[in-house]
Amino acid sequence: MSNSRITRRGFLRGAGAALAAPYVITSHALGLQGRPAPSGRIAMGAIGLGGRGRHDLSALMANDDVQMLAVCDVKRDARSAVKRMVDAKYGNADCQTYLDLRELLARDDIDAVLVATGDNWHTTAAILAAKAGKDMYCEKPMSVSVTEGRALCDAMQRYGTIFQCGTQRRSVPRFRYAVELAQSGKLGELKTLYAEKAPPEWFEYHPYASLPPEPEPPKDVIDWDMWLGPAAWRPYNATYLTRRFWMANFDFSGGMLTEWGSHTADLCQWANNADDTTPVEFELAEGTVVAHYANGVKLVFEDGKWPLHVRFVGTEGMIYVDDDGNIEAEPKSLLADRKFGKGYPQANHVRDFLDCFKSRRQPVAPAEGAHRANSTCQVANICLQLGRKLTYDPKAERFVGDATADRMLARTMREPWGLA
Amino acid sequence: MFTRMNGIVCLTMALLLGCVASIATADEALDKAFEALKTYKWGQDRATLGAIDAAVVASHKDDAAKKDLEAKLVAVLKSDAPQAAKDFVCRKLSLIGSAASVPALAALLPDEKLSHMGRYALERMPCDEAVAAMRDGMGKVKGLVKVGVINSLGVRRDAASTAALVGLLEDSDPQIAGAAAAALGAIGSPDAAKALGAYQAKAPKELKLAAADAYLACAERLLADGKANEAKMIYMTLAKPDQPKHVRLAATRGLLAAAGQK
Repeated sequence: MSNSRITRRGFLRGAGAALAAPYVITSHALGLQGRPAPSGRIAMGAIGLGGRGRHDLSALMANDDVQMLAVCDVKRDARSAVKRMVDAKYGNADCQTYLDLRELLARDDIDAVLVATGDNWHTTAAILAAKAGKDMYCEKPMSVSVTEGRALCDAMQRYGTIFQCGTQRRSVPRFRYAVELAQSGKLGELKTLYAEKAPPEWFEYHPYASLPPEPEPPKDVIDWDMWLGPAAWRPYNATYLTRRFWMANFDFSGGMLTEWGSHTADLCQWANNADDTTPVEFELAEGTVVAHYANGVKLVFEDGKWPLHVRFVGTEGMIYVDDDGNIEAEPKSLLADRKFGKGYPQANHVRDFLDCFKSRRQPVAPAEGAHRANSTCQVANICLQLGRKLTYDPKAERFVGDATADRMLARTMREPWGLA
Repeated sequence: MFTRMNGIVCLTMALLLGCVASIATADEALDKAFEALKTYKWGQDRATLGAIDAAVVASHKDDAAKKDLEAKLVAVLKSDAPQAAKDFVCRKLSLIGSAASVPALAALLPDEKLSHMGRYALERMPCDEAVAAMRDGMGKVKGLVKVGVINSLGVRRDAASTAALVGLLEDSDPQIAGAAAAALGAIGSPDAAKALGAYQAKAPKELKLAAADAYLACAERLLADGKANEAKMIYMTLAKPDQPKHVRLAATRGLLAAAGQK
């Protein structure tokens, strides 16, 4: 093979960077005081209006250069409630509601979208949005299989889409500081990274549980077929729509590993400069899943316990950071007089997305990094389900010598939904 | 007198008996799970099928066990077991199914309730028989089910389906025509490119973006396969002013990439 030949993925990456040119005039450029003129605002739509969706939507609308034009959900109550929120914010009745995301995406006057559906829908919604020419802030975990994550990355690369994954801890200063310590070598040679799974007590259901049928509501109230989307069909039961059920179910999510792992493993990957790869070996050890990177660094998935935290250990030091604002380091001098806040607000993360929309640079949580972090969790899930050591090739995104595990990298989408 | 040798013999016997007992227990649990599967309905305790889950995982590197399990699962598929039971069977066959399962799975393709789960297994099965069954099935199914089969053939990048897919670009159902275009883009061969090229002008308004996306995907495949000139032709077509801005930008990116490939 000649050196001039390039892989499909390599092509997409290189060409995407080459065309990253700004095409929106900022309010600064317009020289306006206060809120930018309508022509300087980013016209947005929101898809998925549950608790997280409303939280994200509020964070986006807190920015004067955002104009939320439309909202979409398969539940009528959610559509109505969020339309009221948006209209109240702008003092008008202009916000349009949609049941079908394809109708919202068909609007030429929308520049970007929030994707905050259930996990099962993230990939499909994101790919449809990219094909429609929209940039996006997309909630995590961005897919329910490795193959879907790769398809999402390919679509973002194809269109040069600005994609920010909702892994907002990447924009929280104390988590960033911990990552910087690891990346800069101030912890010495990195040895072990600890990523938490979500607390096991949150997961009361079997990952493939089903529920007894209940009468299906009218489509306008809850469109059950659209709620299921690409997932396998089953008769309606209201409990499916609750987060505690779908978060635990492998048709709709990735359970405790992806629920928190999409944050914690993501930070570990980032700390290990591994945004474009994953561990190469996964095994059941130390009472959990332990993964090993090609560079010798070990990733340990720990049982989660609030507050969510990560810990990075190197030959010369250690740092621990959590959601309650605690930060501990050895040696203590690593922290010096630094002061950090509490919580995990997403204002910075949302702002980063909006700024990148304008500059056409990729944000701090781009598709490839989010995909690799999520893949790490997905492969760890496969390791847990098969109960055996697995060797994984991050370049091919296939297992080595385990045909059954390979079959688990993809799920077949229910018609009419697909990846292409 | 209880000698040390007697002790070892006794211990060995105990361990052997323990193993036999444990195998017998596992077999009984498996039989019980298969019995439960015959009448398994939505909402029933999923743990009752746990022994089958465990047996499927344990059959790794044990072809005989895999064949035995496969035969039992196929028998349930051919029975009048409830939909939830057949859903479960398809998930298990997606992991261990071989050519032996293909006829029973292919029979599900026209069934609106089970077509997706049939594909769920067939799409994951690496054997040629699985993709051939979907290719054959494509002509025998209609509507949304057909869209699903086309999507699966795209996932499998089945070049042997090209001619049939090209024919479906003309289908009056936009979902079928759109799926056919996407599958051709995924196949990404010169023949697929030719058909998609001709389709760009003919595609109805609601399928213009889908047609362009399929053509872009096709160009990426061609470029990855070292066919830079063919890819360039596609990008030049899609970089024209009649295309939406994001498609033109994507095509311009493609042209830059193709130019870098000598």
